[in-house]
Amino acid sequence: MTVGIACVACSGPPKTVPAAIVNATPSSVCAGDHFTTSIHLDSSGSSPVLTLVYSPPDPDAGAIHFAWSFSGAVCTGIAASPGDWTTLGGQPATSCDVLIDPSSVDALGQITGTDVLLSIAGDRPVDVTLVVTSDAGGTLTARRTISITQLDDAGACPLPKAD
Amino acid sequence: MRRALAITAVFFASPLAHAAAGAAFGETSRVAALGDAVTARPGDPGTLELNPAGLGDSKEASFLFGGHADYVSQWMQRAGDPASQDRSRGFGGFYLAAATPLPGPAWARRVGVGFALDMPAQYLLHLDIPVRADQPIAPTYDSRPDRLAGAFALGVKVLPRVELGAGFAFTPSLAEPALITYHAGRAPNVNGNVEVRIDTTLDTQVSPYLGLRAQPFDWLALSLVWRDAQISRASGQQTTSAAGISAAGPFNFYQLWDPATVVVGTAFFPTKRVSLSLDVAWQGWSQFHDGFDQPLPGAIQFHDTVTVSSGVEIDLPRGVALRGGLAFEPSPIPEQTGETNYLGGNALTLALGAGFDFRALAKLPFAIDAHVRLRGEAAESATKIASSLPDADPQLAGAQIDNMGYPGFRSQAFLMEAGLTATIFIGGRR
Repeated sequence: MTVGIACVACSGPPKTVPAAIVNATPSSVCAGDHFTTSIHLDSSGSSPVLTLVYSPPDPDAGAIHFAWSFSGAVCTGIAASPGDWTTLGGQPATSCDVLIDPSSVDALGQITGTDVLLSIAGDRPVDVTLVVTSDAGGTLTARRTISITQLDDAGACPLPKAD
Repeated sequence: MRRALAITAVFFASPLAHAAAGAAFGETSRVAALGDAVTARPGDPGTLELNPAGLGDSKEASFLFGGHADYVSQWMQRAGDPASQDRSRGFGGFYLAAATPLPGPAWARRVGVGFALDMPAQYLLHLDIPVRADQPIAPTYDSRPDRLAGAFALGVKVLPRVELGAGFAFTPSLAEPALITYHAGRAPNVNGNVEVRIDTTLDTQVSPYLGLRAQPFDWLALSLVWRDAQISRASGQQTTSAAGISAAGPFNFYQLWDPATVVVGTAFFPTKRVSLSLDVAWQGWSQFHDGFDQPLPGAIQFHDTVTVSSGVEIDLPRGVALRGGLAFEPSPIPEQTGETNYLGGNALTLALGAGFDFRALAKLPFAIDAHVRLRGEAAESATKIASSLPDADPQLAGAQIDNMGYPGFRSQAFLMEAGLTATIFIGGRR
């Protein structure tokens, strides 16, 4: 949070700010996951207008656009089978921190959809940044961290098994 | 012997720099070029916050104004990440100051008074309070240059070679109570039913400071200065009211600009044209609080520091002066093994400057001073201790780590600054 008093004049009314919402399922993977767990990022709850109280979407509010980014080395690829895969660039995934599912990447290599599927190496948390831009020009940034769960004393993952 | 002392004196420069009125990195060019090691030197309007006693030595009324431009190149890289996060930014500021001996009889002329005002280029007040405790913060650079500051001081020559001074530094604080209410049916759109009332006032926080300056010999001067901590707050009560629901919560954001400081200084004048000064400053960084005015836990508490600063000034013919300094400033930040990610390493500062006094050059009553300053920090590195990190999600089984600095990080900063000061002398020497 920034509290600031700027000595610049206002250049017009503020642009309408969209709402940026990121849900991650699961929100954490165990240390040393090695891209085993598929994580779903869902931003479908975002809207063109930031509202204090829920209201039905305004059909005239225009579209919103998504731009995702991630901390660490980001690659695109999918495991053919656990422990047997190569990223789309032919790069071994051992050099990646984040592996984006190819279905989440557009033709230009950008990640601009409402949903993203990814997996992570699991040696550090991954910071997810979503910038939502409305047709009106307003932007809002949402950040979420996919955490790492430490293994228990027996070296096992304490998280429940995914369905 | 005197020359030997002077030549072997180590000269270091600016620890945590003060502007004319106390804001960071905005000193007058002469003070910056002398590395802030001016507490034992004769005073001028630009030193009244560093040692108000120097005003007791005022010979004539003078008024100065100037500005500075800075660029901080700073990066942070988490261990194993392929790229660093760039935290670089530019900032700047302006200042003015004036000082004069009192008019009248001889006893009145032993008293000097002055005031100074610092005006940052971008913000009057900038408190950057992170939402997350683990968000990287650079206490030296993030907000410190962005505040309005004022200072008033008085110095008295109590004995022929002894001066005492006192003053107050003013720092703004923000009182911002907010009331958010919801009036159903007031507007066709539900968002129009929300009413926000914010009553903002800009208060001032006053911090006293005291100074002593003695010059027992023509070639030696000594000083002792105490400055209280300078703090700003943004606080208030936020009340949200909708139908029968009413939620009220106080907020109290906190920014420590400068901790309490004690400075012991000395100045040598081996010849009429050469002077050297050395200041040693203790700073009470252990009183540092986070942005919510909470003391840091013991393991990650900042520690007090002792900085050494000094400067050298060489007066050349025709009113030209050359100045320089070199500095070491230890970081108050302990290794960031826990939840927080404070950035800042031990710093080395080099300052160079020049002055042109047009009274000697062309019998015009003004002077121009300029300086450049480079402040480089040693790379800071930290390795997190997983057991020291809080559980990010107690709802989940096991302990989750989401710290932005995990498993460790490195960081470094480099400051470049240039500034210019113009001084106008009014009324001639008394």
